[in-house]
Amino acid sequence: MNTETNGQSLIKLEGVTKVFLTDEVETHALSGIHLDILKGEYVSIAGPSGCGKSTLLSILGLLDTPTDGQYVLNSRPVQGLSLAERARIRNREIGFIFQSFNLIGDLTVYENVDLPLTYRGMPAAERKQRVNEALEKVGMAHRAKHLPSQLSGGQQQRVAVARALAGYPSVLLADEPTGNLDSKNGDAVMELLENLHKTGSTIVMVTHDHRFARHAVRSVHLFDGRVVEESATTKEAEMSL
Amino acid sequence: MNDLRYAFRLLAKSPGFTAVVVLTLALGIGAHTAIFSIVNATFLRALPYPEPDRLVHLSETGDSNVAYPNFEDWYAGQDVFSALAIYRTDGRKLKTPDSAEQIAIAQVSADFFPAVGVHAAQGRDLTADDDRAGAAPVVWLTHAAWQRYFAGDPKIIGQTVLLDGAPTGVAGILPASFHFHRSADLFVPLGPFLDQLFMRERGNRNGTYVIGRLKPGVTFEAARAQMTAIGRRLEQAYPKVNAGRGIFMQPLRERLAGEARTNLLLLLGAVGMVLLIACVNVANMLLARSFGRAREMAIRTALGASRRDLFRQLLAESLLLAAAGGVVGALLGAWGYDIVSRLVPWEMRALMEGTAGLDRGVLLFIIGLTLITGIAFGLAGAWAVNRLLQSQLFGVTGTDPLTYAGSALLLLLAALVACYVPARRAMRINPTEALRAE
Repeated sequence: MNTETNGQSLIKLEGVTKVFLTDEVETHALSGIHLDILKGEYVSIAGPSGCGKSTLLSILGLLDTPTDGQYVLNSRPVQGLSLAERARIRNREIGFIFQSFNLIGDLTVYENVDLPLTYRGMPAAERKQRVNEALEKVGMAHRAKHLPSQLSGGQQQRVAVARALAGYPSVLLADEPTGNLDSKNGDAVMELLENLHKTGSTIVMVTHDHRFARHAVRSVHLFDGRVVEESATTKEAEMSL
Repeated sequence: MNDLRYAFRLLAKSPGFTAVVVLTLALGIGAHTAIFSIVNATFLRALPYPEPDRLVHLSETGDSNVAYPNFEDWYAGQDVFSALAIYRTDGRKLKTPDSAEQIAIAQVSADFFPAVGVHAAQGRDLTADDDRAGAAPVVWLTHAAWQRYFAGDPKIIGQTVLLDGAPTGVAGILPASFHFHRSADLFVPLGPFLDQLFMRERGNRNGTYVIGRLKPGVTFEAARAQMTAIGRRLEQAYPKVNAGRGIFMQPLRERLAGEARTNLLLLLGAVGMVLLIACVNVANMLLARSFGRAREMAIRTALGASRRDLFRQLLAESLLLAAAGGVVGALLGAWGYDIVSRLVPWEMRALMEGTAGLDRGVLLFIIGLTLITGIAFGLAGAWAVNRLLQSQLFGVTGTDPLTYAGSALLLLLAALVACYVPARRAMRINPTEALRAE
C-alpha cells in the first residue's frame, strides 16, 4: 500500500486569479489562490456551488487560463503556453474524470479508452496493451466491445476512469465523479480512486459532498473564489494515528 | 484510417442526413458537370480538326446550299483558301460480308481531306483524278465503319464493296481520331455523281455546303471581302439563278455551335445557381450538425486533441460525403450529359459523339470545389459552436451581427486555408462548459 507522497511538488499555484466579464460586470471566480499539491497526493476540493471549484479544476487541467498568477506543473510554468502545447500536456500529463462520464457515444468502450492515446501518435501495439491494462484495472475488460449506451452509469464512469488512466498521467482530475451515480456506484468509484491513489496516482477531486471528500487525504475548501481552509481529512487523521 | 472509419460509422448512423447531403451534392455536381462539359466541348475546347480556327463554313446567302457550278467559280476565283471543298451527305446501302446495311455517306470534292486536315491512315488520299466524271468509283472508310462493318480487316484496302449495288473500290481508311461534323461512315468523291444528281445545273442546289481552310496569314475578314466580290460577280453573271444570292461565310465553330450558345449559357447559369444552392444547403446541414457535436469536440479537446486532430476528423467526414456525392454526381452527370447534349445543334452533336463526353477534369474540379465549400461551411460551424459556447460565458448573443459577419469572413478564410483556421477555432470550445452541460 502506498499512500505516501514523495515530497515533490507536482502542482503549484501562486496567486491565481480568474475573472470573467459578463455584461461588462467583472465576476471574480478565483481570487489569489495559492495551492501546492505533491506527487502522490489525493486532494479534494470542496465548497458550495459557485465557489470556483470547477474553474479551479479547469485551470489545473489546462482547459482554461488564469487571468493572473502563476501555475507550475511538474516544475514547468504552464499558464502562458500556446493552445497546441496545452493540448499536448493535457494529453500526456492529465487524466480527466467528469461528472457526466463524457464518453463518445459512437465509439466502443475500447475505442473510447484508446482515443487519447491515438492523439499521442502511439504505436497500435502499445496502445492495445495500455487500453487492455486500463480496462482490466477498472474491471471493464469484458465490455470492451460494447457501446457506452449499453452500460450502466457506474460502468460508464469506470470506463471514463480507464480512459484517464491509460495515458499514465501525472495527475487525475476528477470533477464530481459520483455526481451522476447512485450511492452504491458512487462508493464503488470512490473505492476505485482510492485504490489508484494507493498505487501512487496523484488525484485532485472536486466534490461538494463531504461524504466523498473524506476519501481524500487532504481537503481544500473554497468559498467565494478563495481558499478558506486546508485540512487533513478524517481518513488522514485516522491513518496518522 | 481511424478517422475515416469513425466518419463512416457516424454517417452510417445518420442515414437520412447522409442521404440528403449526398443527393444534394450529387445534384449540384452532376448538373454542373454535365452542362459545363457540354459548354466546354461546344465553345471552349478546340474543334477536333488541325488548326480549327482557320476553318470556314461557306454557303449561299441565307445559309442555303451551294450550286456546284457556283462552287467551281468560287474555287477558281479565290486565292485566300489553301483548300476549298464542297460536300453533301446521303444514305446508301452497303453490302458487307454478312449483311446489307443502311449507312451514311459523305460525297466530297477533291480538296475535302486537306480542308479538314486529315490523311488516310491506310491506303491513299483522295486526288483530283478521283473527283472527275467517269472516274472509277472509290471509297474511304472511317475507322469506326471499318471496325463495324469489316471487323478491322486490313486486307480490305483495294477490295471492292457494293454501294447501292455498285462495285466500289476501297481506297483508304481514315484515322480513328478523325470525326466529321456530320454523320458519315464512308467518304466518296462527288465528281462521278454530278450528272446523276443533276448538279451541273447552276440552279440546282442539292444539299451541298462548302468548307474552306484559310491560307496561313489570311484573315477571315480578308477572305470574306474577296468571296463577297466573287459572289457579286456571279450574281451579275447569272442573274436568273443567282439574283440575291451572295456568299455567306462563318467561322466553322460559330456555324456548328452558335445557335446553342444562348441556351447553353443560360443553362450553365442556372446550374451554377443549383450548385450554389447545393453548397448552401450542405452548409446549413453541416452547420446544424456541428451544433449537435460541440460536446464531442469538447471531449476530444479535453483529451488532448490538437487542431490537426480535429481538422483531420472533420476532413475525413467531408471527404467521405464529397466522395459519395461525387460518385452519385458522376452518374447523374453522365445521364444528364446525354439529355443536355440534345440542346446542341446536330452537327456539333455529331462531332461531340466522337470526341467529347463527360469531362473528367471538370468533374474532379467541381467535386473539389464542392468539397472545399463543404469543409469551409462545416468548420465554420465548429467555429459558430465555439462562438455560441462563448456567448454563454460572456453574454454575447448567438445571433449578433458580429457572429454572422465573422462567420461569413471565416468561410472565405476557411476555404483558402483549407481547415487550418476553423480547426483552431474548434479547439477553443470551452470544454469545461461544454462537458458540464447536460
